[in-house]
Amino acid sequence: MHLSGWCFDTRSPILKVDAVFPEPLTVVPLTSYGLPSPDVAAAVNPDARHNRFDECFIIPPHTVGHLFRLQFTLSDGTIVLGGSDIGDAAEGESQSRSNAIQPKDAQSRLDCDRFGAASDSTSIPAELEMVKRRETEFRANIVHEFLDRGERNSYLHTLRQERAALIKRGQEVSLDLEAMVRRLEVEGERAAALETELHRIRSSTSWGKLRPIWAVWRTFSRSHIPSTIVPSLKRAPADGSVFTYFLHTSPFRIYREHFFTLRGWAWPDDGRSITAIGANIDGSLFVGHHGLEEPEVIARYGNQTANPRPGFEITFETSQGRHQLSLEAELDHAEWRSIMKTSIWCEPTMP
Amino acid sequence: MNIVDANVRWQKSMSSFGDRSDYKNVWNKQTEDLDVASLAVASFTDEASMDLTAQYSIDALRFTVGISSTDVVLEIGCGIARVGKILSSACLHWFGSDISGGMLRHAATRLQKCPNTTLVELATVGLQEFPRDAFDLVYCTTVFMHLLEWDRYRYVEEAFRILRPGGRCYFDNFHLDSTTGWNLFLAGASIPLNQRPAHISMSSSRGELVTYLRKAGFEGIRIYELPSELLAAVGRKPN
Repeated sequence: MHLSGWCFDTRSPILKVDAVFPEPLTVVPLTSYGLPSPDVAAAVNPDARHNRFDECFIIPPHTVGHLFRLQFTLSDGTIVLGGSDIGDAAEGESQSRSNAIQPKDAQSRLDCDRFGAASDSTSIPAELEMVKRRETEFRANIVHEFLDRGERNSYLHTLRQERAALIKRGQEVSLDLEAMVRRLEVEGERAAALETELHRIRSSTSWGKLRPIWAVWRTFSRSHIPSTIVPSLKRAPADGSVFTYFLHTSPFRIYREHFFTLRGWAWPDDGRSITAIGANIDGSLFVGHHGLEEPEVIARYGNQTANPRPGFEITFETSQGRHQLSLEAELDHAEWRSIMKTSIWCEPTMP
Repeated sequence: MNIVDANVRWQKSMSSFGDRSDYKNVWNKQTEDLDVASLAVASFTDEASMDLTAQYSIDALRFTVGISSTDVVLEIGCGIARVGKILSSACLHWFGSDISGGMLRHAATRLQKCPNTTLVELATVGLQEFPRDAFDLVYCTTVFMHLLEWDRYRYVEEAFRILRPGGRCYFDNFHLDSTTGWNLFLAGASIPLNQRPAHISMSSSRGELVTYLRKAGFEGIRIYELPSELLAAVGRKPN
């Protein structure tokens, strides 16, 4: 190959120029670099007086057909790699003045003319390649075996750990369910006994005398029940989104009252502002109050720009039976998103 | 008050370094979905741009340390396998390691059609998951900018341990003495003190990278200025 051109770097003298062929990585020094370049000195920079190269060299075996780049070694040892590939068969006076082969802050010019190539196609290199391949395959297998043995730290192990944790969680839930069923059976027997006791009391003489007083007490006791709690609209529960939240009054209970007030705090993780809050019970939305102060939460989590007062309070009706509760927030006056969903069981004991 | 007592009180008065060292958490939080993870590691979400930048990284490897079809390669901090997806076709086996399991989940999806790849989640800073003398090439690209200096060196000395004799290493980072590097520096400087992200990019110098490789034991150390304006340090483990 015949290669000629010039290069110059304004920051530092270029000590050395090489042609670099990638596969296999082969560096061919352009030993002619340093030839006089008065034309470059006149046109580009007065210091560029010996910045030419012009030489012929044999293309390294096995690199024929590959592209190459030039690299320029500066006086501090830094090697500036040319930016784009150069064909090894650029004909005649084809010239490159692109940034591709320029050192930084530099200019260069290249004439490249391939005149010959050496190609060694004997069987020995192929055999050597096979041996090397077998050796590296062996080494790759060793790494795998090592990973299998020490999989405590591997990604696969992380997945297995997560799977084991989920199985354990499932077993715990089954246990809880079993315990709950047993407790329900005990409570059922207790309720039957109390029912019998109640029937006995109501049929007694003293109950007949106290009955008018009980009626008066019932009238007064009902007066504390809010009568204005009605759902503001009816619609299906909203889709979920990611919130940071906490509920002061846990919704995970058996609801013994006719109404329940859910208190807590929340904000969406996407940084939007909560503009309304509500509890959706079987498609009926009970809108609550939001924007309540939660100084301890702010102290713990830092100021929430979009939700500086993240507290809320929602009162909703808990009629007899099983319902779906969806705690929901309206975000930026745009859409409702569910914070959490659960099924609830209501057994109001008061008449 | 004696000096011992004062020293104890001084120790107690120190604040922790913050989240920058908590790499696993910092990067797992940026893996909600593939788009978020892609932006975090490559600033792109489309595969075409991702493949193009991967090709730049691979070219840098080809012309500095070389890539052979018989190489067993390890990438430190492979993220979503931006580079590995393409590089795996040019080597015998590609191992991708990352401290973020979230990133590796996305990487696994992207590497479904690349059978000669293995992903390994790193427990912490270091490469203790890998045996010594195992790899032909260990590289780490566009990762150092997110690491503290001690952790950068930790990976360099670990690379030395797991490379086979004669194996090559490659590490890069941006440097201030380049247009892109300086702009990146100014972009970081413009972020208010209390809003600096834990993964904010920080530069390396030639001296820093050379020192790491020399102290770790590498020989044939060279420093490259790449067309992408990254500064790359390469070296070879002695035979």
